Amino acid sequence: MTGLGPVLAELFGAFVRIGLGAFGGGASAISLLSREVVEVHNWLSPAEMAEVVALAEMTPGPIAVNAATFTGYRVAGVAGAALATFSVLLPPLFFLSLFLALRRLSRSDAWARKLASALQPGILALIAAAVWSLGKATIHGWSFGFFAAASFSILVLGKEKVHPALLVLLFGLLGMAIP
Amino acid sequence: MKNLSKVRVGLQLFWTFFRTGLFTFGGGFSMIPLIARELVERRRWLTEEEFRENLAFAMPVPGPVAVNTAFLAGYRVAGALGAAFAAFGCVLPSFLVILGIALGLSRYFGTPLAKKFFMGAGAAAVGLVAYAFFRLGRDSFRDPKTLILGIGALVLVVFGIHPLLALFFAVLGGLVYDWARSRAR
Repeated sequence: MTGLGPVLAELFGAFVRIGLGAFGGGASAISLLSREVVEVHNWLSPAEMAEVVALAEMTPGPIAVNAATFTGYRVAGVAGAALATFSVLLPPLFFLSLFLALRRLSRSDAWARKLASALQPGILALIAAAVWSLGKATIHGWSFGFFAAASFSILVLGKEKVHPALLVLLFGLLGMAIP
Repeated sequence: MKNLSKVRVGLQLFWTFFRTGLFTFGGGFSMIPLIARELVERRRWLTEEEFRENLAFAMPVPGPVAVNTAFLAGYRVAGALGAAFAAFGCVLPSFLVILGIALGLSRYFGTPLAKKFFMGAGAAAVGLVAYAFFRLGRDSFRDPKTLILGIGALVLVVFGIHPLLALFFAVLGGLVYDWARSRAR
């Protein structure tokens, strides 16, 4: 069991960086995940990363947290899972504490809105990159392209009345029927 | 006596967020209405106004919106201790569920049938992420500043720049853009 220390240190560093850029409901975390977990550290293959995202969409909790727990477990067991989950939450908890301290100085939240709008273009770019990298890993052939287009259209037309988790489950079952 | 009641409120916060964390699938924004109902209507820990203020505050902070909201609401109700209890309660269900799946089911992940399931589910997840992009961006696609900076950051990521760095450059680019516009006027 030598060498668990360095691996834990790498998990910590990678998931702190992922936590730093995980804005806007987790979707922007996906491009950071595929950079750190797949490309830099080779902890998961692109296909496995897509499995984790699909799993995260079907299970309770934020994608970044789900992916941290799963990857951490794969790399270093239960200790890795706990460490990665803690690491991904460290930056948000730090910034929230900082902001709470700053709010004592100024009651106005205009700067928070300003900061949110300054981050918007970059977050959109990260989500677009996530669509690209996930799509490359999962869309092999017309039927899977159709699945992606169908789930997108159902969400747009259905105005979110259909639960996203249900869509992922349904298309997973349909995937099993494809020869 | 005062400390004892603080711990009790802390445990209530933990339990409230544990429940909402357990029953909201897909995470992120889908948790917000549930948290609002629980905190504002059922427990009356926060007013509607305070909840909305918290949400505006949680947006520019990295990390899951649900966890951030839990942390801030916990802080409002019972200080630092409340924040810790609420955030922990919010995260614990997803941690346990994923750990359970990893422990119990991951040996089946490689089977042909599971692979097919995840191919279909993964393709649907692409649609979901595309929808997240659409929902977040639809009001700002026609804004030239967002368009220029967004495409610029995307190109950086595609060419191998770390996404965190691309995000930083996009914010920096926004400052330069505003400065250039104010000079041109």
